Amino acid sequence: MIGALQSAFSLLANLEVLVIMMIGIPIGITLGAIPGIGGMIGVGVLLPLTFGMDPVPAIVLLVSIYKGAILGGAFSAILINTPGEAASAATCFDGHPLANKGQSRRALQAAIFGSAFADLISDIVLIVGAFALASVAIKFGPSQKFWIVVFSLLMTGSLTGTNAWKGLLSISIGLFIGAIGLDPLQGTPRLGIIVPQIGRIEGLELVAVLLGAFALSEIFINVEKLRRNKINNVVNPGTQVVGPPLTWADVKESLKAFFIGTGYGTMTGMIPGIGTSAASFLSYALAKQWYGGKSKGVKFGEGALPGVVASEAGNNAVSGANLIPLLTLGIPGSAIAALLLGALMLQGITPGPMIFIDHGPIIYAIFILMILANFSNIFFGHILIKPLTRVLKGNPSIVFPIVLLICFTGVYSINNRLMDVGVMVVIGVFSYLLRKVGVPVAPMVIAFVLTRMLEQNFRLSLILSRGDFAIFYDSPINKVLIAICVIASILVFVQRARAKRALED
Amino acid sequence: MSKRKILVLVLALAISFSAYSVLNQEGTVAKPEDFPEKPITIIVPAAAGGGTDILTRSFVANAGDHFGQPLIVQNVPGGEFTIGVYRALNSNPDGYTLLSTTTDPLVFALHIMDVEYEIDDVEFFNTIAMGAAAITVNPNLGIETMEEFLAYAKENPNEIQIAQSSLRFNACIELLREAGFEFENIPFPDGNETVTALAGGHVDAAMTSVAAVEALHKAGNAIILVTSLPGEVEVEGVPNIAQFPELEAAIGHIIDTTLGLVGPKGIPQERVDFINEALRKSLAEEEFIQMSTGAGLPPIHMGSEEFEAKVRAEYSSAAELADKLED
Amino acid sequence: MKSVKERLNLNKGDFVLGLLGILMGMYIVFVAVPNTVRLPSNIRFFYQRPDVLPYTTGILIALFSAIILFQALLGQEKKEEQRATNACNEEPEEISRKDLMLSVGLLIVCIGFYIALLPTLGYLVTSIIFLGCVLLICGYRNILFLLLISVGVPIALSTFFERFLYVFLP
Repeated sequence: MIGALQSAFSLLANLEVLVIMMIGIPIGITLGAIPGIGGMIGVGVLLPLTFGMDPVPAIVLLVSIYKGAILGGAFSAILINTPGEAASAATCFDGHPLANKGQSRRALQAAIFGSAFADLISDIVLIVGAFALASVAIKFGPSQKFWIVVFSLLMTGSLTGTNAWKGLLSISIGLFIGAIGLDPLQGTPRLGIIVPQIGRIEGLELVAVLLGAFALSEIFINVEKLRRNKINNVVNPGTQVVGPPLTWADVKESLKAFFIGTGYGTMTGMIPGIGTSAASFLSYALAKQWYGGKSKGVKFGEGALPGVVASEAGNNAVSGANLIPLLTLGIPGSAIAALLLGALMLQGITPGPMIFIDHGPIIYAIFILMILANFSNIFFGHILIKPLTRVLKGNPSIVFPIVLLICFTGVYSINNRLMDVGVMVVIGVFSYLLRKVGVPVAPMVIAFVLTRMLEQNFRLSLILSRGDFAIFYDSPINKVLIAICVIASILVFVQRARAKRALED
Repeated sequence: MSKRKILVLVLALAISFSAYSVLNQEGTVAKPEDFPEKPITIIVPAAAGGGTDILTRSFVANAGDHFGQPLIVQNVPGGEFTIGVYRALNSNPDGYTLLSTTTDPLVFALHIMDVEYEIDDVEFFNTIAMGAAAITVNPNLGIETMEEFLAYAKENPNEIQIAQSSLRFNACIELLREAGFEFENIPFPDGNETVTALAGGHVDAAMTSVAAVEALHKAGNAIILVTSLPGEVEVEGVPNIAQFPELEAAIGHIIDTTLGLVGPKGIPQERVDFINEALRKSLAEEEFIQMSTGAGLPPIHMGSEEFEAKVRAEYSSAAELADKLED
Repeated sequence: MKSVKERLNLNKGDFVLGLLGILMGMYIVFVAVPNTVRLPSNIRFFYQRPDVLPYTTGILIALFSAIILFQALLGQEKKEEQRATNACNEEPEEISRKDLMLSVGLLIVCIGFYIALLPTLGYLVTSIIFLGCVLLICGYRNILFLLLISVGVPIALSTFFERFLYVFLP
């Protein structure tokens, strides 16, 4: 291994590679920050161009864009409550309120550091433990993944706000929306309401639903506020836009959230088929649980810094861990990992245990670069804080319309489908109405994300076991997972009871 | 005639002859006057990053020179490829919108789903690559060769669970059932999940593309029992389907998928010819051949008539199968 | 002696929500699923049926909406709602004035037109009109800048998407 490391460093001594990384990261951050576009488009477009390049620069370019994009999503999530990437949706919850209170810098710095260091840790886990972990990750089959999804759903119980029934209603609506589309196993269309075509696609586009539920509804609510301010002639104080920087006290407070996010993200990232957005939501929910709903007197959802850290750490940790099944077994854990697999194969690198022997130096060079990319992320992220904050927090009556248009264009660009834009608008209007009657929208979105995984794994498990429900509790992993679910439900229950009592005092 | 004049004459002939061949190096087909004048769009009916997409993009990377205009890949995923296909077949038949697709949506989807296009709407060009399939088992099953596999299946019907994630393989398993080999068909939603389940031992066997399982096989995490790779290319130590006559007879004709270029019917013939010619040249590019072979896809190509014939043949088989399944 | 109104303590929003929810649930169970889900011929077990999940969601939606309806009738939730302050998920229950909702309605109508006209007029033209209208709705008054932005932004966006990302806008 030492020999390979030495060769790796010599490969890196090439200035070209570092320059490419310096280009890739800012591009990634920018793409990630634009709602609707994510790393996917950047990676997808540049993929064929890398064909003519050497393997190390090619992979470095794509990976830098990928990592930059996940960070970029946090910028728009915090500043305009519009997650730039699906993975950054949970960052809106506390990030945006912080920005509204004039603390954008704190929130952004927290996001940057949280993302970069979480990614760093998951990269190290990848480097050190790839093969050992891959063989464990493989053991998670349909029945195991089912319990993980159940766990996730239970945890969203802690996000449902004061009225439990409305939260459950929200989850049910989310399940319904998630069921629209082709049946995952039979492939028959279903629930093609309003427009028959939506029954024929694999499921409503995730970004369309996300942007509709969070961004559009927020814009609608804010339009109301704008009118109200105009009518009441309230002048926007517009004091501190950028706000105070992060303090050590903040860091100490958020440490727990960081480890929760990193840990959860790394663990689930290893398992192919659990995506970044689920991880970020869950990290957020877990952190909220752990902190008892408040941090330094601020409730989660109103600007608790650890919420931002948890969500960003969660989604970035997944990115490093996602590469574990990719490199060791050739199984991509997410859409972007699939693109990276394509890039590797274009370069003639076939994943598998032989990858370290056949292409050792290259792979180690890539690992080192991934670590460096994290630091570049921190660097570039900081540079962009001031300019982006000033731009995006400017006059809302300009920013909102432009953001609206960008959302439309971005969503359309994913699949070249006008229908996605329609979906976004319908969900947007629907979520706006829901929020006006006090139904929380976050559980709906999380349920939507999880529905397919839930149904698919449940039914697959039964098919594999030929109808025997024992498959759900036979294996040792399943027993552990069931225990975790039970504990989780108890904890959520207790937390809600405590919160209710606190309200009544 | 003086020697000088003869020399001049010969020289002139030589020059004009070489000039002619240089100018006509584009081959026997002359480039149509006004085509192409702007970039050509190639629709890929799958999301970016999948097999079809990667292949198309690497093909496109070098093809621009031969076409005279850049080729742009547009991803239109959804509906098991049908949405992209529909979009392409419905576009203006002027040669500027083409489709790079496997034969699945043209063969199987037409019978099983209600799609809004017909096989007669398709103008066929050359194929780009052939997709070979493999039947792989998990080592825990205790079976190491195809003979054992088939024997076990005959004696224990419906015991072995075989996973797959495409309409094509679904049909193959049904066909095997008819041939006397009864497996339990486990439909997985996508290829990655199939391979993961196989590697983790959650399912006994899987029918997938060769590319998907090659890495696992080489690592010893799975055993490929047979592939449908044509002669020259093979995975080390793995027999070809031709060595198992029963298997070959049952599914040999339908197990492969072919990736080819198609377009909406109605494109002017001279543009069709030009596209075919440019296509052929691009496929001969060394870089593309390397990439293709490296990805486990032999660079064997079919001309447009052959392609059309194959697709129509598969279409009829699929029709028969669909009828049988309806009962 | 409390008046009838006080005794009812009806939370209007919740009442409507409950009612609509029940309707939606019933629609799903009785209309949407039977009409749009086709059962393949080889189904033998319940876990192979594509309609299990849709039916379940319909039932759950109806169930929870019914509970909310009852709670609204019993007047329990109004107190709690006034204490709900989760900024991102719930807004404090305020009775919006008619014209505030009107501006949002207007915005939605604009969006509707935008989507409808997109295929016909093409991205650039429709976006310019759209942006102009939305800027007006949001209360932006500087006409010169308004025109500048309405024209400039769509042009910038379309260049970015079509040139750099090879995404074709309608």
